[in-house]
Amino acid sequence: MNISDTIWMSVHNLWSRKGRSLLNLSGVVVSCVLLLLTLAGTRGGREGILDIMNASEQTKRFMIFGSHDRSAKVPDEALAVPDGVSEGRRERLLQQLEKEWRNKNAKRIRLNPEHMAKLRSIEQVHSIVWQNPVQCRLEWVEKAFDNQTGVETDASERAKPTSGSLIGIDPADVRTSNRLLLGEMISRDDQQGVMIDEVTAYKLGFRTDDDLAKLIGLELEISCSLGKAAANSATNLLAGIENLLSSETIGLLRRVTKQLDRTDLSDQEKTAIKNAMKLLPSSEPSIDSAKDRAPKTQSADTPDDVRIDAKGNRTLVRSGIVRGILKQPEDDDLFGFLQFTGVQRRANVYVHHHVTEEIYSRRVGFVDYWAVAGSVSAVADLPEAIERIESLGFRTRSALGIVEKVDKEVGKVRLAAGALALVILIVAAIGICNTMIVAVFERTTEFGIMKSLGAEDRHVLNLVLLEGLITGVIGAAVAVVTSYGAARLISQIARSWIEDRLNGRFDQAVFSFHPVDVIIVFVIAALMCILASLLPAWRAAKMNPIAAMKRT
Amino acid sequence: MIHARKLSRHYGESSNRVTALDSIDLTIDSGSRVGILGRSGSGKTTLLNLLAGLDRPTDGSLSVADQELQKLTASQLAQYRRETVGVIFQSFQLIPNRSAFQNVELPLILAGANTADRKRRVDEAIDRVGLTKRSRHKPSELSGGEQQRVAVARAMVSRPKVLLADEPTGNLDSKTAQSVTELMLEMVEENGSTLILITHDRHLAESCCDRIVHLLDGRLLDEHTGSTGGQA
Repeated sequence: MNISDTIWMSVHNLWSRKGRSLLNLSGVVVSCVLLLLTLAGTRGGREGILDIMNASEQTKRFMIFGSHDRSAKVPDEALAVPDGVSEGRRERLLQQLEKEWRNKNAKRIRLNPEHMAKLRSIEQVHSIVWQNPVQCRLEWVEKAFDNQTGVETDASERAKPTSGSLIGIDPADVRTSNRLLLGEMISRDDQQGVMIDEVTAYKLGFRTDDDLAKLIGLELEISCSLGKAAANSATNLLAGIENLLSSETIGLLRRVTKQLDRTDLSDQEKTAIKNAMKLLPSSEPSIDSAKDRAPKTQSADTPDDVRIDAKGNRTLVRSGIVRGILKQPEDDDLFGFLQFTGVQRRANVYVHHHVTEEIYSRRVGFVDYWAVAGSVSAVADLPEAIERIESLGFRTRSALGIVEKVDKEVGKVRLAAGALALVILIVAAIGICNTMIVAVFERTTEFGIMKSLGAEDRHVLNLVLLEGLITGVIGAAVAVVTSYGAARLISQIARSWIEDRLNGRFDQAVFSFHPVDVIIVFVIAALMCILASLLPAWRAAKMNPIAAMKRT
Repeated sequence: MIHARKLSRHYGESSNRVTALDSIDLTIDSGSRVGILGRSGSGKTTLLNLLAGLDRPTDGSLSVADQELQKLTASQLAQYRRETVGVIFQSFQLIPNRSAFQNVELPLILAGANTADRKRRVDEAIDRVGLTKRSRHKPSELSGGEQQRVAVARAMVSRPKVLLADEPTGNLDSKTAQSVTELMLEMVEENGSTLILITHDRHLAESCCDRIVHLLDGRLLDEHTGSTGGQA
């Protein structure tokens, strides 16, 4: 008896007992629909949440900080917590003691340019950008100004030098490119291009829309202080402090220092603060003395783009061409969070982040970048990216906790719904087993006749099992179609319900069907029906033909 | 062709033991027609079940077409049923949800015959029993005589060496019984099969068979030649 005949006979048997077959089929369909909707619903829910997260660029971002070497072994005596401390408190104390020991004793892993290259090589990382502003002095290059714009009115006003901040951006970052108002974005390899935001342009005297257009192509001279050339370790430290503080903050500190006499501090403390403040170098190059900018002690070792004045102050000078104008960032943009308040009131010039990183790393007293911002293309890449970054020894802050929590919660729902579907599957399997036992009982004579004509046990066994398998496969196929229909209907109702409550559009998928889920449903349905058919098939196969035919 | 030596079949154990066949010795030549006569409970059907490979002897040996049935495995016994014997039952034993054609086709399906060969042989068999126009009908749509004709066609479609007929006309009226008997004999003749007819009807046995064996309480009583006188 070949397989095609067995299949044909099984189909014929199922068709000739339509009522019973439909009963079994309905059990399979109902359980498979529930299973598939559970799988698609939980997947859709997770994807919906991830879609919402992906829509927010902030969720895809993370911060990376330098850290202390976590591989260093903390001695037991540093972690000595006495008995009589509750478990939770002990845990917290141990964590804090370990942290303190590492801060004090472990080697610090600093974010340097080499690390930046390593971080950028991580596959899941979309961008790594050091975004802290670099203080600078900006001056329009007269010639380019006149030649390119032909604007004569208040040209001198606009041509005046001004202080500003260079802010590094990633040209590929959609959060920046989405802000493009005029012109074009700086390209991936463009180290000379400059973007100016609309408010800065306004402050610089380019107020009307026509004026803004005239900015494109203008050349800027950008001067950034690199600190004193011959600096000792103390000035290195102070330069480092200066790098972290805006000029406004330093100015504020100077004003506070002048008011020290009004405080309750001791004379010794006042003197110490005054001495420390004297050490602070000027935070930015002078903007009103063109003479100061002239190189006075330029040596052969000094790079071409660096000028050194008589006091030994090093200034990096480079030119930039305005490529485009940016709209103001949205309120929820991390730019706003990262920039110091003082910077907002000054000229903001956006350049390729490699430029700011290079300038910053060339400053006297450069130690590390302290913190950089990174991003991934999709929230789903976040766990892997964070894991790999942390494996390099850095600390991170990101929305990973939220993503993991969502995954955990969705996992719980999936598990609960899956367990429910499993119970329904078991009940359906018992039902199918029951109806098949009855069917086999009813077909006792038929199996007896078959055996009297030469059917072997395996022929009968295969026949009944195949009937179960066909029921399972057809049931799963019907269930897939039904599930798609049901999902569309439920999605429409759910969308309408959610949109009513959100008072806005809701485009996220409620159900997400994945080929793997469909395969799972087919496999489970087939296995369930085969298992349910096993006992009846065994009984049929082992039937005594003489006894079976006597039932006629 | 058929050799039974000290063939016994008992049912039950110890005090409940029932002897259906008690040490029978029987030899049947190839191509002969043998009637086995006996009353109810004499052991006729038990003997048929043993010959059909549906049951195994308790003692003794039974050889059919050079196959020692008591030594065959379950699978070999099934093959024996497919290839060596055809059985016609009193109650037809047709599968109710299958057409006449499909019922006749079943032994060939079990034997693994290909579709084209199967169709040709089934059509021939159905045509031979005169049911060509009724081949798509299910047993419930056929008369008793037609059902038994289908059973004859099914038993003969695989051209068995031995045809076992257990009261083949027991459920038929005399006229229909006559025509079914004639058909059965013709087909046995055409195929050169050995016929073993189990019946309690002496006249039927005498008219069909060239040798008649009597069974009583599981024992072979005597035997004599039938009306055909061995001219099968």
